[in-house]
Amino acid sequence: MIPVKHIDPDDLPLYAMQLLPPEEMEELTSQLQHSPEGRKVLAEIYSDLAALAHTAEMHEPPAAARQRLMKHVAREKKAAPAGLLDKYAVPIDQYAPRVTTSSLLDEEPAPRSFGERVLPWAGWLIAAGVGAFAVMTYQENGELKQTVAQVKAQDAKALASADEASAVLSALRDPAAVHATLMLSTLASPPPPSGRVTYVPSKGSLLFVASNLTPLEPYKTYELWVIPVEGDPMPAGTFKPDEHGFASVVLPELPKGVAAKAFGVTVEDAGGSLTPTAPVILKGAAG
Amino acid sequence: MPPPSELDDATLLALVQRGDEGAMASLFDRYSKVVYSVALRVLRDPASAEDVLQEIFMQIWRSPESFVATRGSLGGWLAVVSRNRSIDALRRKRPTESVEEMALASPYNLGDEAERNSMIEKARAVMVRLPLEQRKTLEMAFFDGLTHSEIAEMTGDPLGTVKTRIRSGLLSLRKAFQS
Repeated sequence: MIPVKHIDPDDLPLYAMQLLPPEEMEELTSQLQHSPEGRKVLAEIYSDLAALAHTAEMHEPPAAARQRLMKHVAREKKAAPAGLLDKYAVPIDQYAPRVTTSSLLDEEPAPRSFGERVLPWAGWLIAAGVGAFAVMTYQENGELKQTVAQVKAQDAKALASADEASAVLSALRDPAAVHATLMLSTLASPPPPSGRVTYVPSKGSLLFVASNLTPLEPYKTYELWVIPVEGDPMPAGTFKPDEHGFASVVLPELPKGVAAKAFGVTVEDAGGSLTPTAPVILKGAAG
Repeated sequence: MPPPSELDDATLLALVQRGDEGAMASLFDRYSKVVYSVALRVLRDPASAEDVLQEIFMQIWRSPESFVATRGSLGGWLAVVSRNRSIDALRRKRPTESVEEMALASPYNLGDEAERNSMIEKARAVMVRLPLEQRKTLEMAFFDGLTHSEIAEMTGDPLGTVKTRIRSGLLSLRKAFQS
């Protein structure tokens, strides 16, 4: 009997993610071979990891990826397994020409063999097959042309939309862009700092523009926060204002589906922080 | 017989075993997005992510018997394999796991698009609700392939804390699906 060493439950997720040093991986592999309970826990961990993997932002693979794969697949065509062929195979003797004996005195001509009877028709059968194949190919060709046209139309639409999005982004990010904050013309005192957030929770998309911000020391930065309905504030990007006090945060990396109750801006050390530091310079409730 | 796109994973794999290219295309249509997205999240490079995608699906074509449905959900399995292959690519290592070695106790039918989408939403919601340190630690380990020692070094947290955070983060995910 092989003694089963206790498996540290904290090690199993690391094992499943292949993050343990090689010697520990080997040791745990051999322990798991003798531990059905350990293998069961490991299977559950793999399932948790599968769920975790699905939290990655979903992207369609490039359209050509499917074609490339199917080309490789066709190149490595498989032969059907022998069992499958046997199932549909007809015993060879059924196709063998029958041997008959006859004498010169026989009044009836000797019956023709299977081959003799089938051969005259073979040409016609082949011609019919080729004809049917040509019709099918023609139809398929028509369908393919239609699909290509649809894909082209979708591509053109996507390209136009991407161009538009790219133009918006580059305008927002262009250091040469001119910014202006419009206010009441009768306002006497200097305008206070302000910011505006546009946030789409389902897509995790956020745009933020701020104006009249005071400049910061070089080792400090402004940081934007999304304050969710549930949970801790989420950092949504750091930024520094230009010489006119203007700043923007465009599409920071945020998880999708987080409902926000408010937004805030704090001053943090350069590089940003994982938790906001008081005081909150700008704040506003999600409306 | 229904069209390949309506067949379940086990039937499609059986057809692939017989050399059915249509079944292979259906498996690709069903799972390529997940496989590619996970690889892209890890590698952050579309060309490398596509390499992983091609490699995994060619492996299905060459040895579908390694992916038999009794090992759990094919979709979940592919997502984890995509992550592992991508981490191997990051580390420039040869693929480490053998496909036969990994079994999933998966309660989800990821072959069904609606169920798959619902699982994605649920998993994301759980992740967002996790304490920030726990979520970051879990993501650093899973998507960045950082070992617990590397994470401890980067965050300044004790090794034991990092290990416990990873395990309890995964348990929180599981609980959310069981509730």
